[in-house]
Amino acid sequence: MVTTSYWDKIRRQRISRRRMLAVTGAGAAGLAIAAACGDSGDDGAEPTDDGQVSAGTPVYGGRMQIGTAVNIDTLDPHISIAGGVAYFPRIYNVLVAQSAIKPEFRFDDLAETLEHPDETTWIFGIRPGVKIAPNEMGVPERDMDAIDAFESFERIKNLDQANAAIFVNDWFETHEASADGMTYTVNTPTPYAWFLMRMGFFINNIPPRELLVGDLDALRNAGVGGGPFLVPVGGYTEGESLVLNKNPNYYRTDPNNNDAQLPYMDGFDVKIITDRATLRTAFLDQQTYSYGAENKAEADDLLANNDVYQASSEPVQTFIAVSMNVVRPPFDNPLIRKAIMHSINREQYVELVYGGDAQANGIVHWPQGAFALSPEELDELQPFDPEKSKELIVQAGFEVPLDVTVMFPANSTIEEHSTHLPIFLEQMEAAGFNVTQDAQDFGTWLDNYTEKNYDICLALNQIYETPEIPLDFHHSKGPAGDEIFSSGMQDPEIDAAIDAAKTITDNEELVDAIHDIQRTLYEAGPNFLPIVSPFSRTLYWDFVKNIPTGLGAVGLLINDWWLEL
Amino acid sequence: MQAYIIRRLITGVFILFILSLVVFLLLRIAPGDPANLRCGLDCPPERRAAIHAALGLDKPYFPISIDFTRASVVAFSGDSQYGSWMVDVVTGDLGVSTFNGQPVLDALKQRLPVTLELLIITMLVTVAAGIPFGIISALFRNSPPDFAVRIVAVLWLAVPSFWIATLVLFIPLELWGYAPPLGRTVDFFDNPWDNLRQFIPPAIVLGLASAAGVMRLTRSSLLEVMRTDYIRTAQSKGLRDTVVVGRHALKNSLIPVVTVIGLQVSALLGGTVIIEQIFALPGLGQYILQSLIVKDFPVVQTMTLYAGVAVVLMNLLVDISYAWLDPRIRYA
Repeated sequence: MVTTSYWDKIRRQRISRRRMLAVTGAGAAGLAIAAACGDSGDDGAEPTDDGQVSAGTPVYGGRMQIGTAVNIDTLDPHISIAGGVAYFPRIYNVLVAQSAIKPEFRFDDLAETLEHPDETTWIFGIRPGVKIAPNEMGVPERDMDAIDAFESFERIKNLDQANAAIFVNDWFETHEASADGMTYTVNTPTPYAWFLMRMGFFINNIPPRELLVGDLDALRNAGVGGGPFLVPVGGYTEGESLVLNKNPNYYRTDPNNNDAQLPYMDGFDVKIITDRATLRTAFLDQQTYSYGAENKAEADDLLANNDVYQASSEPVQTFIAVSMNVVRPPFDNPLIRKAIMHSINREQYVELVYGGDAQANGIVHWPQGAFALSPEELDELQPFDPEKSKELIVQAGFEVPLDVTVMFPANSTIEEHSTHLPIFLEQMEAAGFNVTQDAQDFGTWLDNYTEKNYDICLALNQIYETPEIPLDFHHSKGPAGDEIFSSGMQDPEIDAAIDAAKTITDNEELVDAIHDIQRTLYEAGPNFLPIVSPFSRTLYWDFVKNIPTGLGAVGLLINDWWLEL
Repeated sequence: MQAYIIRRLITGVFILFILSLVVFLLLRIAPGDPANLRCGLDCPPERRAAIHAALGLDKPYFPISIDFTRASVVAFSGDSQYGSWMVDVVTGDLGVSTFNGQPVLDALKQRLPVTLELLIITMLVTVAAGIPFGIISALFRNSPPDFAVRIVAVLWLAVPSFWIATLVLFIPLELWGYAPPLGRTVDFFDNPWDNLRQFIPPAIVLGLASAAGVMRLTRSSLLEVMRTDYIRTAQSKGLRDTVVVGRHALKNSLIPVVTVIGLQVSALLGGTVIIEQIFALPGLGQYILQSLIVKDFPVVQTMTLYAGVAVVLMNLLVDISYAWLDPRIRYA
């Protein structure tokens, strides 16, 4: 395999994605489900040592029963914003993917090799033998190739609705497939630190090109590609269920089991169950084989009373954040922003919301590994100190208590939000603020949040798998680069530092730059403060074998788990 | 009777027209841009505009608009959001979901049987529990059976159905390790047993709450009829109690009960929203709830209109049934 040293350098980076899938909590729950469905293993690429809950001698057969609270909007992998995202990697291929949780683990999927001759050129060598599953959709059982990759990214580029349209339009200066279909080359306009991670995210899945032309019904309602499973025609019932069947042509084998053909399971039966109590009931009654516990306490309780369950835990990339509008008083005053920063007692959230099963976040959240500042440094930079908050309010020329209006959605379906809110309000009051609560309908909140029509508010489950977006919130152009949503710090020096970091392709240099930017932001009084990020607790019945830990969503690409029913 | 039905249908169409206007406007007046929900917070303006165009939200609301600021007071637009929707409704095209691109008609075909079955079983439970216990309560007035029935009825009315529903899932699971099949609808004709296992628990939860109301009304209505002269006359003739109640009292006492049962259908349509959610039944209630959350205008508009049609027709059926129950009633 040909790789450049860049592969080895990229160690603490993440597949970049910044989507507010808050419509039904889809992002958080979708990825949680994704993690719940994840498995471990290794690959012809560069296998790493994955934590596994249990193992043994693999057996073939059985269908994994999954319950998910997230509805599936469409099976079109380029435009889905809801639950479908968790299943695309089981149907299609990405070129490469890198674990957001365990960055040293990467999975070379459709691309077997990578050459990176200069800082803006990426040459992916296509793996031979990634064969499409037998299907009723009229797609021939052929090998996937570079033309599929080209057509896929071409569609994303030209499709306004595509989730990755901005990424492809911004960062693909040129892209081409070789005539023999074995090489796919992308040129970026400038060096881009997060390019490879974003390429591997599941909104960039590559379906066979036959599915991308003409009537797209097959793409919306079924799915076939070079992945380990396929969704047969009729396998998806809107709002109800999804059936995935095994791809007998799947290219991967299990090196730990005499190169046995993967996957072991016959398929998945996914049931959409939107009520948490019902999901739990279905799990306890063995109608589903996995369950994402609400928190550690629930997981511990179930484990303590039943010896037929096993648990798996992953850091979760989501968090609730405090967002301040720097173009409105009093939050245009950095002292007031710092006062808010000192009002936040993150330990209280860790204990009360997550029962100790979470960690305090800095400006870049802790699951981002090396990019996040150390807990010790964070304690110095953003200490909880309500008295200091009051001093800063006075120093800024205001009286204590200072009247502020806190906007928040009153009817959020995101569990964490309702548990964070009372703590946040209480802590603000204790730190010298007189809070007027501005509870709004979710849609109203989203509109006002987008249009910057608020003073301070709780931002719902943010999901960022690179530090790029959390830092962009402090950029004057905001995370979308168009001054929509966040007005940032309005500081040209900070803007320049954030922009410069995007072009750093040396990993160690990048880590240092991200650290320095955070320190500068703390000095300037940050306007976007992630609170805490938790661990997920997923329970499985004990007959589910070879469950991974520590890979996050990338575990979805690896399918060497099995059922001992 | 025919003239009456036609008049009522015409009135019904007018009511549905008003309903369509109200729901159309409410959805658009309420803050919340479907494009934001679809595109996310980092949605650039051009992409938001493209989504608006794709969803038809860039068109004017109505085909006719009054411009008070200019000399021309009426402007006409051949292509408006409401106009397009109405044309679609009249021509049987219910539109396409903005959330998943699925035709609303397909979703309706898929989900209506689920809700319909749930409603039918619920109504059976309502009638089977409400009317007999109402009669028992009336006939044994102020006796232990009457007290027992009334206490249970008040209890069912007082306790929220979503809480009972959760208990109905949890308690059998804890006690006997039993839970109904969850998450995928089993067709009655494929597997009647599993189908009924899925539908009877939610139908009981929904049905007993409405049965409590029916029971109380049956009781009071029957007590009132039992005090009338013609019942006393029947009793004086020496007719057996079963004949007096069954043939003379019950039929007349059922008129208000039928009205309430008819109205229960519309109330139950609302009740299914929560119950379908808890029992993981992919019916219309769940569909409406999910669509409201994501501001799926075509679905919410059409489903509301559908519910309106159901209520209008049910009320008409109730009114028609009066004539059958009480031959003295005539519709001119």
